[in-house]
Amino acid sequence: MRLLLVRHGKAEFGPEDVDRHLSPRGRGDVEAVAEHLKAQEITVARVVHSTLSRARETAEILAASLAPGAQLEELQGIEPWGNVKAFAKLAQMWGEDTIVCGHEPFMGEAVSYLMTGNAHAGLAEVKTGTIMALARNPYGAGWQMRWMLTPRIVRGPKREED
Amino acid sequence: MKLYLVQHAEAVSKDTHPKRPLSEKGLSDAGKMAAFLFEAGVQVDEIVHSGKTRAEETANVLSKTVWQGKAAIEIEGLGSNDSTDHLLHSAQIAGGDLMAVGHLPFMAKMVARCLTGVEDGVAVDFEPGTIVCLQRLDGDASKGGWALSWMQRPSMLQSV
Repeated sequence: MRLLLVRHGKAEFGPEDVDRHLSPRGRGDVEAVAEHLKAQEITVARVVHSTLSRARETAEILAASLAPGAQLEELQGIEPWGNVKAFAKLAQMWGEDTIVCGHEPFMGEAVSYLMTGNAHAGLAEVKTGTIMALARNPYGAGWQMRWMLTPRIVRGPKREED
Repeated sequence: MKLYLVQHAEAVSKDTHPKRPLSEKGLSDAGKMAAFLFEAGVQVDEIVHSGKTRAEETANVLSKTVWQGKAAIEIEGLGSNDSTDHLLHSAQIAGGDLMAVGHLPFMAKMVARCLTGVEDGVAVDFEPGTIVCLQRLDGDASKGGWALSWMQRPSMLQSV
């Protein structure tokens, strides 16, 4: 079972605590990641997102390419302030490959906790639109990283306008 | 500053050739990774390898797209069971982006040490030809001083 942890794409400019939408750039970033993964024939059974718009919109774009026919599922507790340990417990029980669209600092803490048992290990630099694929460690209790891609690395510098 | 840690691509067996050069699949996988790096716009300031044929060949294929095709440099301390001290020290003081091509279990220990401070602190799943890109964090060396930036493997590049 693969767990694909995603941070939503770049959102519209606005206060952190407002339910913002993806910006055109954020949309393009997530579409580029989705197309890249589709070309590698990556598919998942489930797509889960937080209660916030920018995560739901990210999930919609990824689901269209990678999970045809799957119903999006809203999950509480993976907002930026979510409980990483509760999420890890839940994910342990999932049997199907699942994309989870959420936020920072939650996703960075989740990947650190799943791989080391310490949510504050600061393992990964999780920029917007980043996707991290984890699988259960065959030799131990935790999870192992298999790959990690960012919009920057998938789109290349020429198509990036910063 | 970025550090690219690479496991050499698939090599032939010792029985086929005592020096264990890359297999046909290994050459093809290294080529796919080089193409991926080109598309991503990755350039580095130096590529080093362990001195083993399979590491040197992998390094030189990657050099074609990320280091103007210069011949990768053989260094000590990249053997499969060497201490990670030497490479870590080189990376900590490097002024530019460094790519190191070597072997397991060395590369897995190096990733773990950079990210957590200890060689068995975390597991990333290498397959031959895998590249792990780490970003040096300025200031906070307490947790190892580096963070994962991206990771790519040949089996994720089936269609080119």
